[in-house]
Amino acid sequence: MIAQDQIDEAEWINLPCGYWYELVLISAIKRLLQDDMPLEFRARFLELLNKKARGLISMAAVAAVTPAPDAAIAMLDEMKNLSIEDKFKVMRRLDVFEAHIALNPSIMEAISLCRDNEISDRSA
Amino acid sequence: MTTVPAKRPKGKRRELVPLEPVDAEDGSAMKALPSDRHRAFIRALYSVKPGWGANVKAAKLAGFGSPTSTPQSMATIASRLAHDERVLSAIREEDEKRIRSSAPRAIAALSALIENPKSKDHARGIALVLDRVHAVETTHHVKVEHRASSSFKATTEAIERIMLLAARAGVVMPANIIDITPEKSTS
Repeated sequence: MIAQDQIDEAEWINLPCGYWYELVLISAIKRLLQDDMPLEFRARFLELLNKKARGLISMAAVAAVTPAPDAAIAMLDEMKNLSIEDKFKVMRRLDVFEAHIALNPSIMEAISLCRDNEISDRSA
Repeated sequence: MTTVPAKRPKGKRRELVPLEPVDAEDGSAMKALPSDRHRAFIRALYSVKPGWGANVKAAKLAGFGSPTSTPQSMATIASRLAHDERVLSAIREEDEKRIRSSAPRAIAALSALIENPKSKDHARGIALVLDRVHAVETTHHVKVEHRASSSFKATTEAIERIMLLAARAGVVMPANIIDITPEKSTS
């Protein structure tokens, strides 16, 4: 695990904002997977989780994200009545994403891994 | 009985009244020219017939060259004069002066045009004058409406609730999310 002080606090700002919601959703899915559910549902959620590893988000970044805490889930619930466009509008806000990072610091660790993924993609 | 004016005797011309001295000054570019011949060259350019050889004629009128100068050497002198930066500046200055001084004549011609309803450009002349006296006014009415759509309201409310939940969860948000302070480079 990367120590918090090793991560540049403003690093997440370099990640395109479209990925912010993805990382938060990964943590939300992981939280859902902690609950009891039919095997078929679990398989579908795991499949969805694997599909999240695309673009700048590597599989290692997906693995680094820990399940979302209660407060983060409550914050996501507040968006359930919004359209998909409005959900992205909310999640593109710096203060909202920063709140999610504060509640779940593993997102920051994942962002650091996204940066490494981008650097390795460029050098390849 | 009508009085007939006395006939002027043949061969004797009326004596001209000496011209009143006019205190007219050349512009700065004309004054900056190296000699009176250069100034005369500029003035001659406006009096000779424009076209082929105009520069040579102007140079000759200004007194450049000599009676034995060949046409080729006169052409060289005229060309050098016409392309001298100082001469070009003086020509530009003189152009502006002449255009400005011809404004009264242009106005007189325009007045004559608008007084003559038979002229084909009569209407254009009137329009020209009116455009300058009463310029066409264009009024733009810009109406700015801000409509808070239901989507916008819902999004705003959701954000407010999210931030409230974050605050309850102990997330301390800075007042300014991005504080951009320009710093002097140390290098």
